[in-house]
Amino acid sequence: MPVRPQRLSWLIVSASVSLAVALFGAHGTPAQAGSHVGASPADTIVTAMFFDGKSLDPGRQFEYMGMTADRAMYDTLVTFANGNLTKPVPDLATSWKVSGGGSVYTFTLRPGVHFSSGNPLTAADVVWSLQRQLNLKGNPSFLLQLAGVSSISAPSSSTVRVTLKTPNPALLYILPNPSLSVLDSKVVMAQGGTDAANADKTDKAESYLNTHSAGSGPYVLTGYSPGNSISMTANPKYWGPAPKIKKVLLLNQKSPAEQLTLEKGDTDISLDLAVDQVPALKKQAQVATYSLSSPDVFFLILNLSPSVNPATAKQDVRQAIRYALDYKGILSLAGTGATQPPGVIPVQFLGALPESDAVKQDVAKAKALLAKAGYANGFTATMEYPSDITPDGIDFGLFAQKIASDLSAVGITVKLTPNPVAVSLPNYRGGKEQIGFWYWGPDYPDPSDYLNFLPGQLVGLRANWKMGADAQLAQWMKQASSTVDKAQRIALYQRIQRRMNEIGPFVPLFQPSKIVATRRSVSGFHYNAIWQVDFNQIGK
Amino acid sequence: MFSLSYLIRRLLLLIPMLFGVTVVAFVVSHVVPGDPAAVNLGQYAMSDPTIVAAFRRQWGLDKPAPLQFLVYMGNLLHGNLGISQQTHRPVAVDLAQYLPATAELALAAILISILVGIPLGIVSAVYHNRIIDHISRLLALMGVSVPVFWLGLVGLDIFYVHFSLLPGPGRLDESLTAPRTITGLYTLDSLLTGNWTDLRSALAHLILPGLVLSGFSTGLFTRITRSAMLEVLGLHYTRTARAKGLAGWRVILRHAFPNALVPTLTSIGLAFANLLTGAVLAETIFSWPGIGRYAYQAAVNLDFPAIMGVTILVAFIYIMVNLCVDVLYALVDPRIRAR
Repeated sequence: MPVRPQRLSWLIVSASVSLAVALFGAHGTPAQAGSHVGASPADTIVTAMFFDGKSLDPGRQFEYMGMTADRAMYDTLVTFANGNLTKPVPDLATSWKVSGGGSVYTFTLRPGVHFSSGNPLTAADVVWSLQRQLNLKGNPSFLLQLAGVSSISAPSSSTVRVTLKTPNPALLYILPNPSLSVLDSKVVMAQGGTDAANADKTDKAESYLNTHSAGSGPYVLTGYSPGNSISMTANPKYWGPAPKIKKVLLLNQKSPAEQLTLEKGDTDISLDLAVDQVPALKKQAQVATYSLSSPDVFFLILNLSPSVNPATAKQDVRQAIRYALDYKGILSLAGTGATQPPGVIPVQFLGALPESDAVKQDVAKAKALLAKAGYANGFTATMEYPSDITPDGIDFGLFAQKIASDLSAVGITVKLTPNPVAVSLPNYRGGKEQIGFWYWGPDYPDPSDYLNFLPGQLVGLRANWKMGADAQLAQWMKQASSTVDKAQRIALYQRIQRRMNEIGPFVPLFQPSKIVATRRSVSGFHYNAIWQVDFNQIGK
Repeated sequence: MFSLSYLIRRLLLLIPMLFGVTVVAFVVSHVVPGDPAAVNLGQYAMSDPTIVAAFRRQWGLDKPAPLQFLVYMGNLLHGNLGISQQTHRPVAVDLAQYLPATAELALAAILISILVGIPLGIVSAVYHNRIIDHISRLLALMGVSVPVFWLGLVGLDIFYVHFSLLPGPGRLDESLTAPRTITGLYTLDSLLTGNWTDLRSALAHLILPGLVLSGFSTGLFTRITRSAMLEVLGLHYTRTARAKGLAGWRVILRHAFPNALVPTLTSIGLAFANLLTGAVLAETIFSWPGIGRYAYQAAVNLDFPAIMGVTILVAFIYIMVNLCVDVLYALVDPRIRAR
């Protein structure tokens, strides 16, 4: 047999070792957090989040990535402060008057505001930007239609008038959305932008807006690499107080990587963490963890059409399903921060039902109701849900199994039918599912968004809850859409939800947790459910 | 046989093969149930027929499928791969950005696998059934079984978080700007532009993902080299060489190993093509903006132009790698050259 190991192997080994030493040496020895190579620089807020977006053009974006970045570079007429979504406050408009019984809003613009280009911001820019957003017919274009906008005009260079078809108090809750940001119309038009009625075919400004910002906000865009990073720097022409930290860097990371980079101090803020990471994060002295409730509501939708499922078409059966579920168990599956909404309106919005209204599991009652409906031996139903999306980190399949097991305890056999969203979504929207397991993310933080769940409306129809199915709800719906008085609105929406819980096809299950974390050195962080961070208020 | 005309013929075959791949990719992606509008538009936007119609028109989905195919082929012949629905940029630009990133990672992984796997396979065959053989077979088994996702996270936790020996996710330190784009490979570009800081950072960032990705191919090469060597070591010319009095390792490396190279080359080619077409999990863990992640997002979002672009690219890569492997056969084995 041949002799010992060999020059070649030794050569390889020693070469690798030298290379390693050279590189490790370059990278640095174990050091205190913050002083190692790769640590988040003192003049930059480094934020990790999952890039779910496709565009930075405010008029076209409607995902977290676009919202978070655009909020830093653009301004809106009104906004929300410190993450409080129940109170619109001035942004570009310093004050507003409501007239015409609630259908005319006149905004007075803040004087002396300039875009990052140096162009002055006038009412014409506001009107142009809102018209463009509407006419682009993109993902967010429904917002102004939802508000019922019939016309937008500029009576003077410092006033903007928005006229609605019918009085709608939701307008002030819709306007803060970053997709309704005000753009520098001169600059954008020079780059092929237009607010014409056929803007969906003729506007060419998107590629410019993905590489440059044209706003009046505290930051300007310095770079966007899709799927990779977004970098911004302070806008010297900003009208408000200069941001404490001059640069912002958004990095595309998924939750496992986010946890590691935050622990290490290479990122300052992590926006997409999972609930099962909380115990490990809490052990880190340098990390502050926030277990919040997402405003997304996960629910069961039971079909009211007897031809789809004769059992779920019966009110007693639907009530039985409501009482059969183990809500405590579902919440513990969802983790810290999750909550059980007593109605379809999330707990943090105006008009939500109080905790005392939340249904509690009552297996005996469920069985009695089933027997009363003629299903003492139970029945079979299919439950469909999306298999390939995990909104808020929720694995539908996990919860579906829990629900199926709860229902089998009262005699209902559930056949789980997971399908990719490309397949299950059309079934859901087409009202074909016997039992559906879905979620609703609010389009804007106002209870009027949830009128969609009523008979004859967008989501109600998915359960085949036809228009006119309940006269009481129809009347309350009409009142709720036009009442402006806050106390009256709360009372109306609560009444609506209580009636829905009695006779309707929806079983609200849970609001998932939203876990975000920052380094303890970060100050001024208030999570906002729409655009997540106000970077100009962050210090470290 | 292995003449210039043969090579040209092989290259010309690319055209009908890529055409076939394009047709299949188009048909399959359009036949699969699912509506891109449903996946890309929000809950409200979907219920507004004007927005849905605008979306379909923007992405050419309002035309019948055969016409869409003709439009796509027409554009393809002009070098236009269409606009990606995810990035709203030309697919060609996306591929030009993401492919080099994956190529860099694939090269790092394949280099590690070759430098570790092949010597290990040789040693394993030579010391057949001794301790070192058992250890290397165990390592090979672990290499092909350990999940990349887990290994990547554990690696990051140990080397990045706890011991600060290696950098974290990403291709470059955040504070540095990427080198001027020549090839798209950060290491090569920083070398060519003399940017030593970027070079060090890029190399350091390649180590952990490269090691993690190389696990499977290292295990594979070890096993294949080992079995090929075992076969050759028992053959008559090996015995002849030993009988002639040649030194042990000279026999192994100069006489036996080249004859065992052919099956090893095949597996290297396949492994490289596999790595080059993207490893979604590794790219996700290490926030590596590569083809794998892009392809996965394209599939989930029913981004037809991107799906088609990636499919054509992957087919092209596999065909070219196979061609290179065939050429290498001819270089390594004179008998193939002579045929």
